[in-house]
Amino acid sequence: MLPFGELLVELAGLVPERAGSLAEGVALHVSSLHLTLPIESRIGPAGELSASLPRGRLATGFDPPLTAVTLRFEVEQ
Amino acid sequence: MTGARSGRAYPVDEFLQALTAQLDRAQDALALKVRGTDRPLTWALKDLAIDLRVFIEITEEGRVTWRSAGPGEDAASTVHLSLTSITRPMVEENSFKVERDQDSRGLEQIAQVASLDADDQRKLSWMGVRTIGQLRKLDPIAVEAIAGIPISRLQAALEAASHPAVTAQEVVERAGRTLLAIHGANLADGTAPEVRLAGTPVEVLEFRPARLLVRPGAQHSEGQIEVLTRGRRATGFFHLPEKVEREGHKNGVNGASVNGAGKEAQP
Repeated sequence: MLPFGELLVELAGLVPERAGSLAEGVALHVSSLHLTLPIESRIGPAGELSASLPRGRLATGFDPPLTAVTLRFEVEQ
Repeated sequence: MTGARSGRAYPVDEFLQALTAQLDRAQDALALKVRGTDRPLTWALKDLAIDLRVFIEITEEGRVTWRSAGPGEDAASTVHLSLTSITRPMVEENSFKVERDQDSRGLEQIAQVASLDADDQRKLSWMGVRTIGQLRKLDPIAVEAIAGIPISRLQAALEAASHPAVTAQEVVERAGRTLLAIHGANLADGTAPEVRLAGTPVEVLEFRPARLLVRPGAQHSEGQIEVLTRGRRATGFFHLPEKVEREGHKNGVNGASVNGAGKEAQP
């Protein structure tokens, strides 16, 4: 598991902010990113929240219950 | 709502503070990534919603705590947290300015004298009152109506809060002279108070309600601080560096600057 903040940074880094270019004839810029995904989360001994993506497609009885997180990022200059 | 006590339960308010700190660091990391790669754009986290599966418990002291549900603990509660970004002006508009507090002593410092029990202090804390300066701004009648704290106890607290108190002392080097700063509350009220160090009157150079600056005599090394103001007396204890050390200060030697272990004077 990662500290929750680090997981957010990792998730934001997965998406490119732009694609194409004027030389290629078209350029796209991402203006916002909405994510809704299941995560495993745990509150640590110092109160910090740790989280990770689910371990696999099938949950077992040994896994903690999954929760959901919804994020909205916007691109800023 | 209460589940098995197999894990560590954590106070909700402290968890939220820890989560906020994590989100601040995440935003810093996103900005840092951009600076490191010379990209002109960056992601900013605007909104966040998260469902937490937790067991909620209330301690005997009345604090709400929660702990994460473990594997197989299906009876956990679901807490839905929604957070949104706020701007610096919004924070400044809605937060208490500690530096503007006239008396930043914690309520516990007068609790015993004022007969404010732990329950009273908790109720005041829920109202956002954590310092004596904040307590003074309250209307006792309104507080009794809202929080159920009797007016007599609040008046006793306000009376206790108005007494002068010495809370700390600090050695100040100024123009080659060793001076003593006395920190506390209600130490002056428009006129210079009378200050004695080890029984000897000393010159008061500066006076404010929360801080006095006095000039110790050559004979002073340690002893009792007495502050007399408005007919009331506050006491503490001072300790100055040895004379050799004081000379060392003048010559740039790193001597004791803030009284070591004895800096917290007892009123």
